[in-house]
Amino acid sequence: MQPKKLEEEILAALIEVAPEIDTAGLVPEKNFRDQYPLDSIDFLHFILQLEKRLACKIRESDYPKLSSLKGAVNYLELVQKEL
Amino acid sequence: MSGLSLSPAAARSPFAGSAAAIFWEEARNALPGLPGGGLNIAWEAVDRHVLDGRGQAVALRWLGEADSCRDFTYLELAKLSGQFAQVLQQLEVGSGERVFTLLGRVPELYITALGTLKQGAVFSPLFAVFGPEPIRLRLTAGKARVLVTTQRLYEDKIKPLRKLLPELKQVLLVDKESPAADNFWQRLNYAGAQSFLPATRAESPALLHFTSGTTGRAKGVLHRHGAVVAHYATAQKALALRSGDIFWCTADPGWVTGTSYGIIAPLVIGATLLVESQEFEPQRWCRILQDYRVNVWYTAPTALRMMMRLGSEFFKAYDFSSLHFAASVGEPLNAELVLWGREIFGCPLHDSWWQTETGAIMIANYVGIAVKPGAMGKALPGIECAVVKRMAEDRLEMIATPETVGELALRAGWPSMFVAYIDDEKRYRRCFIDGWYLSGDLVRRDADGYFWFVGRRDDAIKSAGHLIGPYEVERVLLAHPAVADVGVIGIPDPLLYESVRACVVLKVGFCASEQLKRELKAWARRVLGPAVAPREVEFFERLPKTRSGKIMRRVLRARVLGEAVGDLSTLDENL
Repeated sequence: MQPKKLEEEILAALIEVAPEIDTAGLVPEKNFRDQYPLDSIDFLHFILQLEKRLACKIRESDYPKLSSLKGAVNYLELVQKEL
Repeated sequence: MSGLSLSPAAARSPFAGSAAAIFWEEARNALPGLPGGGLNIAWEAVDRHVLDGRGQAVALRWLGEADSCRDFTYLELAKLSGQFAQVLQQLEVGSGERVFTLLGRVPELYITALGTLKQGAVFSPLFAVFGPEPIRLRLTAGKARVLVTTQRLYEDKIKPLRKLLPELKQVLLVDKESPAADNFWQRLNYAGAQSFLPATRAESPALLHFTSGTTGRAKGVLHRHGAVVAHYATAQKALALRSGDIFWCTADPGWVTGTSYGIIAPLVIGATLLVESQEFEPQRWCRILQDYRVNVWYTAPTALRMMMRLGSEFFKAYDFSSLHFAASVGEPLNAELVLWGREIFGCPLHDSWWQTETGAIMIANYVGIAVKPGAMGKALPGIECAVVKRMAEDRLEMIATPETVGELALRAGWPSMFVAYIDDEKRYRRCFIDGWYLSGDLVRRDADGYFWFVGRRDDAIKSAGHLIGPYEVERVLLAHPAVADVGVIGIPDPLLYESVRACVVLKVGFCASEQLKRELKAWARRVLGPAVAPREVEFFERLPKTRSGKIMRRVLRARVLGEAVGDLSTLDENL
């Protein structure tokens, strides 16, 4: 999957969990939780959404790597290469 | 000062001369009290340690972003909180007036809490993740006089409400660059050292927390300075906490646990209070337990369950040998989790039970008794518990037969028992019958005297350690133009215990769609914040109601879960 498409999936997963957020001003390098009111349960649900959308398994110990848009794109690109 | 007087139910001491009374008397005598008489939580927490020559011990170890860490000694905390008390004095805040915080877990929160208590005002911490509506309701109901917050939280959540808060005279911003008049640190430096001794007594109001029930708005639960006796004694008995221990309570002070045990108890005991400012992240938590050599840990089942997902192998890389006691509160700790804790951390997880109203731990798998996995524990020394049934004409029937479900009642009169629901004396009185406080929680007691949680008597939802009132969520959704009716219920959830679900009936002209579900969820999250808003929205044609038009949430829940609905005698025949 192209990075652009991957990015769309990540944002769609985020909006599924927290539909109130406006991703227009999102800073890709910055932690999602520093930009939007998300709690730890939201973050977990976001990861589970991603797993569902991308039909992949994200290791629990890797969750922190997906805490920003850039981090999530980089991580998921690697995961897809390994598949 | 409306709502601040002790009601007869609270003032009554039914167990004078009993073992319970002796227990509390001994606990009280272990605390020196104010020079010249009186009792003050903050004095017991910091100043008296300084007087006793322990001023250089670390009181607060604050963990910031990345690996930053800042220590505050008892002496530093005594000085800073004294300066804040002086600021309040200069602002002419009267005793019993309310000082609120809307902050994350930053050092200023702890300075404000202790300084407010020293000055004789009432401290009320708000959870920073709340949306604007729960914040407005609490600031209004609590008649906030001073609010300490950050520039960002102020702009996002307070500024739009400011006109609705005429009693809020002063906002202090903790950001270093904020304007001088509102600058917390400039005010503190200008105020200088505290020039007066606290003038509170055990009966003086000290803390205000908010909690939820089925109906009405959040209740303001008021506690007095005398509660410190229970904070002190229960932390030793239920958490095995000793002077010099490194103690980590993971709860935010916006909830009662994070104040009673996340600020007061460890300081009164003379431990080092570890404060983690960042949001939950399992790996970081493991590193904290290991690197900061935590001795006693008080946390919540949801966090433990999220850690459990990592699998046992993950934890082998960490050394938890410093940990000698771990306990949990918020919702029932399932037996599997207790056993998992023993395997991973080398010590069992001790479940405990209490409420905002009780102010301190009442029931626990405490020091010296066997841990029963899955049980809440036994009544602590000084606490008398009973399983009861409410009968007609305000009478109680005691249930003596083990394993019989009934309501948990506590003999009124322990030191941290709440003294009021602010401005709602009637509601307060309704909590007491015949000298017993009725908790609203349904339990059974086994033959060994251990209590087991069964559920709530009312429709309040227990989710991720928080008690959420369905009405608070329903009224926000009812304000949406598409919503004709709504019932909010708790659905069993493997991580959260219960997850908040909104069952919505749409107005004519609106069509059920995924898009509308998202819109309603967004609406609720914007107003309430993520901790309170529904995680799921579901559409219904109509909701089950009583003949008088009240939503039968229990029936609704059974319907959603596909369970038998039980007695329907009062259900509207059309449904």
